[in-house]
Amino acid sequence: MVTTEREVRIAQAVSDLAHRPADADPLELMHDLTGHAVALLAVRGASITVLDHSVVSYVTASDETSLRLTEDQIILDEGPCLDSARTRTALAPTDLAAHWPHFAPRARAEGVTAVAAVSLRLPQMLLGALNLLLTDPSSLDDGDMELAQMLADTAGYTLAHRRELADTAGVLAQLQAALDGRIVVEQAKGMLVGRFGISMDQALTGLRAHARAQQQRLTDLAAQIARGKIPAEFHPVR
Amino acid sequence: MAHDEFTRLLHRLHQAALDGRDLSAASAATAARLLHLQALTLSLRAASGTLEPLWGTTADGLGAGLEEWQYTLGEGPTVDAARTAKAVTEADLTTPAAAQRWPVFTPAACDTPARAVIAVPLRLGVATVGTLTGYRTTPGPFTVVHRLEFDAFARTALNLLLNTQPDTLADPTGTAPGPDVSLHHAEIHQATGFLSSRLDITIEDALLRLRAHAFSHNRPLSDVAHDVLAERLHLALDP
Repeated sequence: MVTTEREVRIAQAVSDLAHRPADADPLELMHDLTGHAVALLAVRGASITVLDHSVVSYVTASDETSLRLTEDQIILDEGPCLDSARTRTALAPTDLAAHWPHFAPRARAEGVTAVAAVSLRLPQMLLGALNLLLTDPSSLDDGDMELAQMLADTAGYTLAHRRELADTAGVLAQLQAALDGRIVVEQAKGMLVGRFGISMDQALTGLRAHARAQQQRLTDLAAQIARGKIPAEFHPVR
Repeated sequence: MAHDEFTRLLHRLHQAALDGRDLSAASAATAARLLHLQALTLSLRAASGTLEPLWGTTADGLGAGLEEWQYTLGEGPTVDAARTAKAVTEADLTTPAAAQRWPVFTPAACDTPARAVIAVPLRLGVATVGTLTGYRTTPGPFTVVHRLEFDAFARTALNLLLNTQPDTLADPTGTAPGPDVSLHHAEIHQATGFLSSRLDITIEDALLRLRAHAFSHNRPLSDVAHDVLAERLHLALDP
């Protein structure tokens, strides 16, 4: 039996999501989950939505377009990423136009015509959903959906077991940290765009790459930059 | 059940914020009662870091009076929470430790019925937008549950605060220029960072600058943020 390159990459992704230091950044973990989903599956982008005090919030997205499309749904109060966060169940690849008439045109403008979702769940609770934005409903098969669910479950277990705070309050505190952290990341991205004249996507990629290279938590690096202290060795585009 | 009533209050205020209502949607007296406090105040961080009273209960001697003291003295729990961006609590204002912590504020507070205080910064990313401060007339530690509830109310108050005119509270029926799901708009936070770097000002001042423009031109903050990022709108330092 030959091990394929994709199988190796899947194993690497699971390993990356499972092995995090005790003080890992929950936002970084969820962002990396979207990154792995995009790298391993035939999806245009990915985002994470959660139910926060009975209101759907986005946590993170793989790229600026996916972030916008997730935000659009929150503003329109309509769309698959809202439904998946509310029901917290998996959503098989679904054509947008038939179900979400207001959101579908905006998504189509970005080439997205269908969405699938798997639940972001912890051993003791359901948090929300990992949403997969598709250019074609047939681009994900059942095996792909299972893979997506396993990636999400791996991240969920890592989140739950961090600092041995496997209780609900501890998980909710981490979720809140992630929700607070995303604002810091957006402020830092704006700061980098203003300074280097790069795109928002390049700013996010640069942030993630620098945090990884320096073994710094994404949210900590973003906070430092948002306060105007851009590291001298920071390279905006890698 | 007080807890259920508190949960309903949070939910109603969250919805009010989504509908574009400002802080006048929240009754400070009700919030204080549900948080087991005798006074509750919200201070806004204005330009250059100064604090201004924006909302709160009106009990004699408590709350507003003590806040004014702190702004003048530059000392006290509210000032500390705003400066350090961390929660501040003092379980017993009559102790020597409290007097040592705030040599001028503490005696002034002890002249009022206030005996315990909690203050948390209202944070938007790395920006401290203001402070929520609560006073209790009985000494004693704040329990974990009390702190969590205080934090939860502070988050909701922050949403309403963003719809509130920077200089003053509008009339009780006043609304912001159109619903603005502020915290969901990544562009608002991106534009804050962008402006901060372009004008070489702090993130707090950049946010104030954006909000001042939005209110003075009667436009949603998200629209202003979008134009700033598209470089269609060039905001200078002065409003």
